[in-house]
Amino acid sequence: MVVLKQSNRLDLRQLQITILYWRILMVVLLWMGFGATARAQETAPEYKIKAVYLYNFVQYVNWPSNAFVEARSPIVIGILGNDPFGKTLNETVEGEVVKNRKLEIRYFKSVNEIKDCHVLFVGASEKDRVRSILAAMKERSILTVSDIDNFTLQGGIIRFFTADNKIRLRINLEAAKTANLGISSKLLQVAVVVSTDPSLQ
Amino acid sequence: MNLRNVPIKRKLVYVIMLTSTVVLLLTSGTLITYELFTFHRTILQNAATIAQIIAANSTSALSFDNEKVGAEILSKLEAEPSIVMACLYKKDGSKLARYPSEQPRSDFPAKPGTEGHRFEKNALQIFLPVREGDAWQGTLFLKLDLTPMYSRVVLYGGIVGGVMIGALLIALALSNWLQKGISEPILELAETAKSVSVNKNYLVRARKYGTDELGSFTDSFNHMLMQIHDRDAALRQSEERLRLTLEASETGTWDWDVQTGFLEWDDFLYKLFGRKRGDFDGRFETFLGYLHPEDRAAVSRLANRALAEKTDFVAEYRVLWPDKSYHYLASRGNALYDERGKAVRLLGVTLDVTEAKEAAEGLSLLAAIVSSSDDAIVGKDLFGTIVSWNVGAERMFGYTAEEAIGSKSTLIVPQDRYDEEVQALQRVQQGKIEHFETRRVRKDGSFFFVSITFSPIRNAEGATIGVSANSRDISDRIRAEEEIRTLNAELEERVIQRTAELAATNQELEAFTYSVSHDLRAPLRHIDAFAQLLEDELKETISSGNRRYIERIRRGVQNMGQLVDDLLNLSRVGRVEIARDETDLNSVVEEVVADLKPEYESREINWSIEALPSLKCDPGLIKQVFINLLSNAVKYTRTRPKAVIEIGQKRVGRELAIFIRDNGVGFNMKYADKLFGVFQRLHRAEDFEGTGVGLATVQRIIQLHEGRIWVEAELDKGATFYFTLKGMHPL
Amino acid sequence: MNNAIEILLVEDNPDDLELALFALKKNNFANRIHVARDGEEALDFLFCRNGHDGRSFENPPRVVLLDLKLPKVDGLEVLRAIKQDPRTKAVPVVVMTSSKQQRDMVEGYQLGVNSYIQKPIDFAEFREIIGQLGYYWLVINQAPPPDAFK
Repeated sequence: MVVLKQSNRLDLRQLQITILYWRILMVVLLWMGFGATARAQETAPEYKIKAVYLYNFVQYVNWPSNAFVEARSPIVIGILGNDPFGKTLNETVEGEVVKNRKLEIRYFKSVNEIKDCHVLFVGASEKDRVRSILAAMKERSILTVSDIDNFTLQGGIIRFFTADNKIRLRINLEAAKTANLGISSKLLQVAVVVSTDPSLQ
Repeated sequence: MNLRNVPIKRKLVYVIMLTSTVVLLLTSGTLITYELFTFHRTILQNAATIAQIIAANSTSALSFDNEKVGAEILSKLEAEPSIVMACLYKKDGSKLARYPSEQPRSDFPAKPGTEGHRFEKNALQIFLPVREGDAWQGTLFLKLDLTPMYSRVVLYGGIVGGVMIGALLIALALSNWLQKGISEPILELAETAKSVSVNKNYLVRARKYGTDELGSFTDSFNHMLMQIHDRDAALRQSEERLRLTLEASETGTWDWDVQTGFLEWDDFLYKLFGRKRGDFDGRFETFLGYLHPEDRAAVSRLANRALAEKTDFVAEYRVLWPDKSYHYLASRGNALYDERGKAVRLLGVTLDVTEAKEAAEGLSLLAAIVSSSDDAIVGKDLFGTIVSWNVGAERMFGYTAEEAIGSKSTLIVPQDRYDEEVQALQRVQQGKIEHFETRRVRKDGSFFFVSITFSPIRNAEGATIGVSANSRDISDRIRAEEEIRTLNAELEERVIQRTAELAATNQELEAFTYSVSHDLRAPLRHIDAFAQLLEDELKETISSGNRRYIERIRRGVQNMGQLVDDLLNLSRVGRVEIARDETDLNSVVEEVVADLKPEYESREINWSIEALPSLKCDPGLIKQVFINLLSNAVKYTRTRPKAVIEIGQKRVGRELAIFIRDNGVGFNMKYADKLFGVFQRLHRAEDFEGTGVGLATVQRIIQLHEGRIWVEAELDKGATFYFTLKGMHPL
Repeated sequence: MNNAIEILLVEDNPDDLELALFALKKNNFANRIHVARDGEEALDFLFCRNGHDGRSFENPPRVVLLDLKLPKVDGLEVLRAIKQDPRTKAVPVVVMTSSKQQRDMVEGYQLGVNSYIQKPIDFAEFREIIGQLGYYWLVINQAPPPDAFK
C-alpha cells in the first residue's frame, strides 16, 4: 500500500516498472498455485515414461490369435492394484491403433476380475501377492509387467528397473515362452534377459 | 576464303575434322552428364538402403530410450567409410545417439529436418523417420561425404577431354591419309591414258587402289584396254592355232580348183601319200593313179556327186605308197560355189585311218566271240546303262538287244538286289573284279539264280569307262543245294527229337533206380533181420541143419544186396557227367591197395607198382576202376601160395596203356569177349563169388574217358588187364 | 527234464520200426522214445502243435532219427522244415535210409543234416550202428543249450 501511495507522486516510468513487478509476481504465484494443485494428482515423471513403454511393448510383442475374441477385438492393457499412471496412460493410448487393434485400459482390483487382458501391469500394492498372481496368469497369453523387485525371477515377464537414472528392462524369456508370447528380438536388444532358473542367475 | 575454290585435298580435311569434332563433343557431353546422373542415383540408392536398415534396427532403442544400443547400431556404420555422420533423434527432437560418438554434439543438426535427402556441397544429407509398424519412434539422420567421389568425376572428365584431343589428332592424321585414296587414283588414270595414246601400248594398265567407284572406273578403263589388246592377239592366234591343229591331228589339207583341175596339197598330205614335195604334178588323174585300183572309180564318183548334188565329199580309200604298202585314208571336203551356183573349188582334209580300220577288224572278231557265248555278256557304262547285249543275254533274260540297250541295268535286277548291284558296280569302278551269286528276273517276270562276274572295262589310258557283266545260270545247282539243306534240317530235327526222347528215357531210368535203391534193399534188410532174430530166439534148441538154412538165407540176402548195389553203381556210371581233375594215378593205386587190405591180410601178396602218369580224369570213377581190377586180381590169386600183382604202364602203338597183371587162375581167351558184359561170369559162384557187374562198370568208366580196355589171359597162368585213357601219352 | 523225450524216431514201415525199436532196446535206449509214423506227425511233435501243444521248444529230443521215404511229408521236407526254423534248427537230425543215393546225400547235407547213415543189410551190423549212434548222441555229445532254440 505504501507503494501505491507513492505512485501517486512518482512519474509514469516508475509506475510501469511497478506494474511489471506485479505481473511477474502474479505469474509466479499462479504457477506455484497450479503446480501445487497439479502435483497432488500429477503422475511422477518416472511413470510417464513407463506408461509410454507399456504402450511401446504392444508393438514389439506378438500374441497368438486365440488370445483375442474376435479379429477386431482391442488389445487390453490392465492395471492390477494401485494405479501409478493416472491420466498419462489414457493420454498415451487414446486413439492409438496397433496391429489393426484399438487399445483399451482396464483396472482390476483382484486377480479374479481379470478376464480379457493382454498386458497386465502389477502395481506395487500387490508386492506380497506376486507369486499367486503369476501362478494364476501362467499359461495365459498375458504380458505381465511390473516394477516390483524380483518380479521376473518369480515368473513375471518384464520388470522395469533403474540404472544410471534410466529406466531399463529385464525380460524373462522362458516366462514369455510359457505364455506363448512372441517377443521381438528388437525388444530383447534393449533389455537384460533373465531366467527363472536360479542356477542361471 | 571461299570454300568453293579451296583445293579438293583441303576440302576433304575440313569436312572430316568438323564432323569428328561435333560428334566427339556430343558423345563426351552425353557421357559425362549420364555418368553424373547415374552416380547421384547410385549414391542415393545406397544411402537410402543403409538408412532403411539402420532405421529398422534402431526402433527399439528409440522406443525404450536406450542410447547405448542406439550408439552400438550407429557404430556399425564404420563399415561404410563414405558416411561421415549419423544421428538418431527421439520423438522430442533430442539426440539419442550420434556417430561418430566423439564428434561434438553441435556439429549435428540441432533438430531433425523434414523427411528426404538433400545434396549439398560435397555432401548428401538424409532424414528418415524411424517407425515400428506404423508408430513413429524418432528420426535418423545420415550425412555422406561425396568429396572422393566428386574428385573421381573430375578425373573422369579430364580423361574424356584427353581422349577427345587425342581422337581429334588421330582424325586429322587419318583425314590427311584418306584424302590421298581419292586424289591419287585420279592422277594415275590421267597418266595411263596419256601413255596409251602416245605409245599405242595396250598392255599398259592403270593402277587400281580399291573397289570403290574410282576402282570400278579404273577397272572399266583397264578392261577396255584389255579388249583392244585381245582382239588384236586373237586374230593372230587363230591362224596359228589352225596350223597347229592340223599338224597335231596329222591332217593334210587340199584345194581342188574345179575349173583349172589343179589339185594343191599341203606338206602333210605329201606325207600321207608317202611322197616328197614336188613328186605330185597336181592333176586329179595322177591322184587317182596313186589309189588302189579298186577304189579309183568310187572316189571319182563320190567327188563328182558331191559337186553335182552340193553335198559333202566323204570318201575312204586305200593308197599305194612307193614302198608298195597300202594305207587307208579318209577325206572329207566342201565345195565353194560362185554366184550362179556353179562349183568353183573343192576344199578338204585327209586323215590316215589305217589303225582305226585294223582295230575295227579286231573288234568285230571279239564281238563274234561275245555274241556266240552261252553266258550272258552285258556291257554297262559307269551309270549302269546297258550298252551291249549279246545273244546269250537275249536267251537268258528274254529281252532282245534292242529292248535292253539304253535301259538301266536294273531291268534284270529284282528290287531286293538293287543295293547289291549298286555296291558291286561301285567296287568294279575302283578297278576290282567282283564274283557273286544272286537272283535275276526275266522279261516274263520269273526269277532265277546266276553266278556273275563284274569286271571293269578300261580305255587305252587304263581308266575305267564301263563294266562288263558275265552271268551264268546256276538255278540247277541252287536247287540241289536247297534240297541238301532241307534234308539236313530234317535230319537235325530228328536228332533233336531223338535226344529229347533219350533224355526222357534217362529220366525214367533215374526215377526207377532211385526207387530200386530204396525199395529193393528194404525187404532184404527185413529178411536178414528177422532171420537173425529167429536164430537168436531158437538159440540152443535149433538143429545144426536148421541153423545152416538160416545162414543160407542170410548169405543169399547179402549177395542180393551186393548185386543191387553193383547194379545201381553201374547205372549211375552210365548217367554221370565226368568231372576231370588232374589226378596222380600212383596215389589212387596206393589208396585202393590200402582199402583192400582187409581182403588179403592173411595172405602173401607181392605188390609191384611202377611209376604211373598223372593226368586229367574223374578221380572218383578212376578209383572205382582200380578197386574192381585190383580186387579181382586179389580174388583170383587166392589159390596161389605166393601171389604177384603188378601195376605198370606200357606203350601200345601211339598210346600209353596202364596194365594190372596177376598170376592167378586166369581164363581161356575164348571167352574174353564175354568178360565185360553184365552178369557174365567165367567162374562158378562157389569158387569165386561175384555179381558179374564189376567189369561192365569198369568198361563203362573207361568208355566215358574215351579210352579202351582189353585183357590178355591164359588159363591157370594169370590175366593182364590193359586200359588207356584220353590224354594219356607216352612220356 | 527226466521225462523229456530223448529220441524222436520217424519211420513208417512197421518192419523197420520194429527192428529199430528192438535194436534201441537191446542197446538200452528204449526209454523216452517217441515214434512218428509219417513226416506230418514228426513236424507236429517238433513244432509242438496238433496234440503236442503241451510241449515246449526248449525241450526238444536229443536226436531225431529220420527215414527218407515217408508218406505225406517226405524225409527231406521234414529235414528242411527243421533246419530252416530258428526254433528247431539246433536239433540234431540223423538220416537213416536204405539207399545211399548221391542225390539224397547231397541234398541232405546241403540242408544241414548232422549225420547220414545207410541202413546196412546185415542186421547185426545195424544193431551195432544203432548202439554207437545212441551212445554218441545221448552220452558223448553235449546237447545244445536252451539258448540255441530261440
